Amino acid sequence: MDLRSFLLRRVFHSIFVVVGISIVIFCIARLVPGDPARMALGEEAPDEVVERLRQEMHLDKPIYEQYYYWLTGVLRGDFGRSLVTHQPVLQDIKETLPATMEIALVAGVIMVVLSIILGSIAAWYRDTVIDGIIRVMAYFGVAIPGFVVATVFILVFGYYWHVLPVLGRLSSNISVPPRVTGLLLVDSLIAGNMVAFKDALLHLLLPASSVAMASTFQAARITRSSMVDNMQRDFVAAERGYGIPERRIALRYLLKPSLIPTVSVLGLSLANIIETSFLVELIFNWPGISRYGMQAILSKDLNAISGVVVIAGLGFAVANVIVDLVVANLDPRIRLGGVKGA
Amino acid sequence: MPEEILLDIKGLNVWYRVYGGYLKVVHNLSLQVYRGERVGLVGEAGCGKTTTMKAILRILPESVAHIPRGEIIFRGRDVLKMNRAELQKLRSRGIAMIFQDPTSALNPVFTVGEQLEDVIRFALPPEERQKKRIHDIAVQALKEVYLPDQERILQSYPVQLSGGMRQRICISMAITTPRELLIADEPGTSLDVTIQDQILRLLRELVEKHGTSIILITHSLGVARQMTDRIYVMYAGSIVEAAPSATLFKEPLHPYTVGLLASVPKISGGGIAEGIPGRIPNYLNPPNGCRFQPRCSLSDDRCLSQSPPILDVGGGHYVACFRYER
Repeated sequence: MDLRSFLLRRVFHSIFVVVGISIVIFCIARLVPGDPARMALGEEAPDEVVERLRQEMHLDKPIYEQYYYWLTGVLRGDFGRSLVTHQPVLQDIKETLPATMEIALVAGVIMVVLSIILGSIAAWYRDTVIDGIIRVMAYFGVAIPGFVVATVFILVFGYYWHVLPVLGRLSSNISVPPRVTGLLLVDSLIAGNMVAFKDALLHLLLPASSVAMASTFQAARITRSSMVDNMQRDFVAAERGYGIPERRIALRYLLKPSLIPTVSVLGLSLANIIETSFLVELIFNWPGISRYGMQAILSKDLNAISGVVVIAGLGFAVANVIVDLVVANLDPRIRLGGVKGA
Repeated sequence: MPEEILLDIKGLNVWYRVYGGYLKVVHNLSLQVYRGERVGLVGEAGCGKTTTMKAILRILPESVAHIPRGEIIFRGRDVLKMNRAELQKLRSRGIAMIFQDPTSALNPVFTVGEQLEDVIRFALPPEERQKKRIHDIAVQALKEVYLPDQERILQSYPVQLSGGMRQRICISMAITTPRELLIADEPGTSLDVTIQDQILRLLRELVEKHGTSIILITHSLGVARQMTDRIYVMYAGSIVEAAPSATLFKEPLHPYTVGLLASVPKISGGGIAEGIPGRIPNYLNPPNGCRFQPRCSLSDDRCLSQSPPILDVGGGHYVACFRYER
């Protein structure tokens, strides 16, 4: 099986996943008690105005018909209008998604780099003090929820030490670079504005670390154990026995097979990023899609809820395809597809 | 002609650290290999054959393996006292080991070429490490083990090849650069009998062609008889008998060797051969005297308390048993 058909198969699976998610969230959002039209217009609105809005939103139709209207809209790129912001949902998503993506990307980098480094060090110095310290750190990191980490970070770095900014995406005295991608890091680079780049990066550090914390340590533990596992394998003894230097074995022959479970676990943690972001964005006053989605849920803003969840599902599906590709690239046994024997 | 001793293991002990103490696996083991000699090491599973061989290359897991006593002299130098650079030279020029299971001995996520060429690269002096030269040696090594279509094999992953091919690749890794001693750990045992036979024939041919010494580890007495000049019989971490191959089969002395020979099924029939009752001792708390004593029908009180010395019974025949004391 070549890489292209592998990719096609994964994309095909992802479509089903996203459609499934959309059906589930569409139903759940409508089954929850409360009349969205009434909530949007307020207690004071006259009944006939509310009734008109209900008809406009097809809320008087059976749920499968509602889904049909919604789906045909989405396929045309129309996610409907938000009842809270009175803007098209797609517009809201365009405004809020990049802020969250920026956190996710920086968190992803932190997760990958730190988990591999910490895991490898722990494996290399296994059963020593160093391993013990990383182990204890990992237990704390995994056990403490992201929003607590975020609060502590704000207290320590923002309040006591004043070393890192704790609110928003950019300091108020910095000019915002012209919007191209919506990612401030990228936009400021395009504009050649290094001051804004540095400022945006500093703003990202705390929220991204809070989001990345748990997954980083979980992945570090996985890296450690798979590496310790591989160290005892015959191929490592054989490579040493054939005179390949220790350093090269560690950085090449041991690292690559040990990263396979790490990458898989990090892929799963992407779901965590979206989930942790809800609270972290609130705490850091981050204008991201998670905060937007949270408000949508609280005000039963049906179109916004569905839109946000579908976008999140899409992001998750895309990330999973990427993870599958990375794993396939690391592991020929997957790429070559269940060769017999072995 | 005075024969040159290539490898001389003297009183080697290897212990494994485990919860609750040490597994005292290899116990006062001594073994010699002369230049150009083919030596067999025979014993049942778990008797410490592979541990001993890994100790020679210092590739035992350092975190758990402990060598309290013993010397491993290779060409006059003690392997156990070698520094990093000397070890590197020993491994890339002196001794190479062929592992028992070719599937686990090859790294699953690198191509055969990446692995084989790396072995060659670090065996060559730095000024000779050109890509083209390394590649040529790799192709040549695969030709020597009769693998066709070398370019394709170099680009394959182990999972794409058959067990027999993987075993040949493992052998090719051990012969990329001339070595003085090959250690073959039950080559082909994990493969079917016809392939195993081919692998053994290939090994014999390579050893004869290059004049390499070989230690062949096996639990098959038949293989040992065909392939070797001299045989060491190992039981529970010690050598119990050593003799030229023909002598050993004609005139086994140690009760364990006698039992081992009797337990080989014969084609002429007579039902399933008898085994030796009992099993290998617990290494955490091995018997004080002779390690074979609990399974030996001929033992007496002395065997309980004292380790038997290795006795020279003449003609290069040695046995570790009190019964042959004069």
